[in-house]
Amino acid sequence: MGAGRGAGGAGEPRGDPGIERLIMRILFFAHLKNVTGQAELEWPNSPPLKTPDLWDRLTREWPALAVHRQATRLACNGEYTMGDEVFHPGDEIALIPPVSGG
Amino acid sequence: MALSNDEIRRYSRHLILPQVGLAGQQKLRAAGVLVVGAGGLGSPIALYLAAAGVGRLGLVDFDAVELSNLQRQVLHGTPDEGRPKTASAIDALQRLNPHVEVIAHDTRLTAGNAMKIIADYDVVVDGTDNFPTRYLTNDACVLLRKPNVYGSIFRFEGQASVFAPHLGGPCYRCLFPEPPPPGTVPTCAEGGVLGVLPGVIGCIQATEILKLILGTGTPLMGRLLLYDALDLRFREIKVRRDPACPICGESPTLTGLIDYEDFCGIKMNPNPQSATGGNAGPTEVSVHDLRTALNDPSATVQVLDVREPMEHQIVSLPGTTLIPLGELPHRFEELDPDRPCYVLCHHGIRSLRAAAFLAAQGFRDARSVRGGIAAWADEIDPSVPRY
Repeated sequence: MGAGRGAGGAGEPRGDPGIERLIMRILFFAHLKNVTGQAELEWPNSPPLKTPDLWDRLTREWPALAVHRQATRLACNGEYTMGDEVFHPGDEIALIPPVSGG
Repeated sequence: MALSNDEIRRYSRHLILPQVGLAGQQKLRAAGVLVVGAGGLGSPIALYLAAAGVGRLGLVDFDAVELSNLQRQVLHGTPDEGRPKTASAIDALQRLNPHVEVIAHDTRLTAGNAMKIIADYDVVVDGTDNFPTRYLTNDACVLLRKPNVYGSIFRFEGQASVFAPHLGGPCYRCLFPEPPPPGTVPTCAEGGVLGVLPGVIGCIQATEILKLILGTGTPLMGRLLLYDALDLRFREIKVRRDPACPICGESPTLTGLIDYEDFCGIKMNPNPQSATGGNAGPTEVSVHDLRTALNDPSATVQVLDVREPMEHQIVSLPGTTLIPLGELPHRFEELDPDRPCYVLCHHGIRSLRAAAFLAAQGFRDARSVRGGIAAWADEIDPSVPRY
């Protein structure tokens, strides 16, 4: 696991045995990495989280993320989410902000 | 029309590919592609499309070549500094392939001209550097049913996708329905960019354009490609069309173009060259006011520099306090809210946000230095390096 999770995570069964299934993994892209100071973080033993709960937890830890919330899209296991979603332990959640450089 | 002997020799490596062949090469020659932005992304895109024999290449750009462009904008060379990018691009592309017709649109793409310009082309490629033009390009392409080959970069990371609702895929608004608040996403000028990064993303865009014209392979449609140069990693995110999308959804609320600067919450300066001049707004001061403040022996005004440490290393002004914008929310108490505070950054954008933030924290008189340290270099001290 590990290296291939990002793109390949879509088809992973959630009932995978082992410790990985207890971890919720959050990926930060572009300038969000600078806001949080990291590219990736793991929440072991997280309960299932709805989209607003996830944002609440993130912005409690990094208040400066709040300004990016409106434009940032969430992907779960390699698929864009639309509207509200419930994220489970074992999910890999990517925070993808728009970037404009050309 | 058959290919000439010259063209057959030139394109021979294409002609022996079963997916291209004579018929494919003729499709390329008959095609017109509009490249929006002749910068970091537009450079490799235009070069490879011209080399590949795309018959008609339109370039939209109103900028002039600057020395700081050359680290990544490989269409332009050192002798081109100061020339319009479109003029420099025409020279480079004609030299590469005289069979290609290059059309210069030496203008900013606007809601007023976009439909007319785009209508003449088969495929549009988004290599622009700002959100209003990205939304404008998207909306015009959706309305005109043209594929929009998207690419965007930041520091070491890039995004690419193909937007084509008329072919069943999503559009840019399905991906990012809401623009970010102005000033919250650093530009290449603010955040920096690895020079080769637009080469990688631009070549992916060029590949997708060629595939669309040839009708071969699987387009990067319904998929957002994310590239990270530091980890050398590609990821893919599946994206579906948003049925509620205001422009390509089931009941669109947008049936024409809108004011994109307003939509993105900003007003663009009509003449970027004069961004340093003009009158300061009520929350701004000029670099001349800044000089007066810095020369005042009683230091009535405190001067805050909100740039990043890497920028501060390149150049800084004595008598200023460095607190990067991102650190200001937990460090503003280092400043005296009762004294006037002038805020300085690179071009006067981040400092506007910082001044507004300080005012909201109860600072009596927080003002942004219009034009930033770039204006200082222009108007006060030409020995200060520009970056």
